[in-house]
Amino acid sequence: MHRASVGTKIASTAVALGTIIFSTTILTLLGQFLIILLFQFASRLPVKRLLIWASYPAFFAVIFAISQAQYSVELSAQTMLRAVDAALLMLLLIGTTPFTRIIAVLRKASRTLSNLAFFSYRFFFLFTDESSRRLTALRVRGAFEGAIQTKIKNAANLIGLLFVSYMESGEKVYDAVKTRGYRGEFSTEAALLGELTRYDFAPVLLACLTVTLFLAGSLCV
Amino acid sequence: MAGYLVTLALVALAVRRVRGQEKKGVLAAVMVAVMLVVQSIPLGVPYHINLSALTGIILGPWWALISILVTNAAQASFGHGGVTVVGLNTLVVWTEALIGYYLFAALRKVLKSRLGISTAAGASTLLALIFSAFLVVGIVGISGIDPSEALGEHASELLGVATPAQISITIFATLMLPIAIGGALIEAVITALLVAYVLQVKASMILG
Repeated sequence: MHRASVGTKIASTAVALGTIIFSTTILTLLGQFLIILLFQFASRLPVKRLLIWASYPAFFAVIFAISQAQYSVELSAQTMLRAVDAALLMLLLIGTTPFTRIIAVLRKASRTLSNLAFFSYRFFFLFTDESSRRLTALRVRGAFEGAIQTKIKNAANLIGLLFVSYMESGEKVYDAVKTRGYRGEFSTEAALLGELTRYDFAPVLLACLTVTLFLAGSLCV
Repeated sequence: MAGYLVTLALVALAVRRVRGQEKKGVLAAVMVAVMLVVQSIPLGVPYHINLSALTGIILGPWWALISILVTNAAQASFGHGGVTVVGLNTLVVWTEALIGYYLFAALRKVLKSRLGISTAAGASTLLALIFSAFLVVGIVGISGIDPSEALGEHASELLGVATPAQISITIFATLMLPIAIGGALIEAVITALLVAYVLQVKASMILG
């Protein structure tokens, strides 16, 4: 998957995602889950870690699934599996494709959108680290102990502090890229939809397998 | 599909309107990351804070629209939010930013003290989110979607109706609006406190 062209991977992911969205049987979704896991394993991605990440959308799906539980257990399981499958599929794409190349695809549509996505990607990880550090620092100082008013006040101050800090980081990053000649334009790797190579077989196979499962599931219903 | 088309047309217009504003583009990226971080916090209830009104207040309507689209697309890519409703969801969240922006601008002219400005931010957020909740109910009503498909049997049992098909738009609104309004209150308080803090340390971020 790593060496396949970005265009093939995105197209295959879109096809596979479509089959996940429209699958209506639990067996199809389970089969797609196993296929995606197999491709992740074959691509030497950290499968355990990706499963943990994919459990996050499952958390939200659980809320929806619980409301369906008395209606149909299978429907609830489908809701959860669909969320996990979609997340794992996107993680497979992102885990095997440098982010700059995905941005380069977006760039074809809009320079403004691609620049925004590029900066947001950078900031997201910076902010997550900083939030985590500051939260730990406050916790060890007992900021979230005692009366509820104290907790709310400290939490609000933390959010405010982080917000100001994030905005300042944004301004610093802008100043830094401006001094390096940034005028709203990043150079990106252009070769997106070059000639198909043998490495493109992997994403095409992924799309074919998910479509086959989808069709088989639809015929059985 | 209609949601996607309207959103893309508006985004195309927004991209033209923000041309040449590179610095604000970086701040918009900051807001996207902030929204992603904030939305990623599971609260244990089917509601999350998204700071859309604050995004409108800080970035203005056009950058807010672009930021909200990027945020929704990123969320949908990771399974948080449906891929098929990114367009419609962007429009709904944008109305929050739009109302937040214009209401805050109007209230700021009247409420000029630091407390007044943070109250204006909180009130703008509250009204924007309440409007958006009614908008969602309206969209479900107009589109003819069966609300029971979204709520399921559990909700219908809570209300004492026999089958999910008996859930009307009125019952959907009865179930959905209290949760949305409760969430709006939480977000309004957080926004007001946040703005109060920012006004103390770096007022230019809010006042421009």
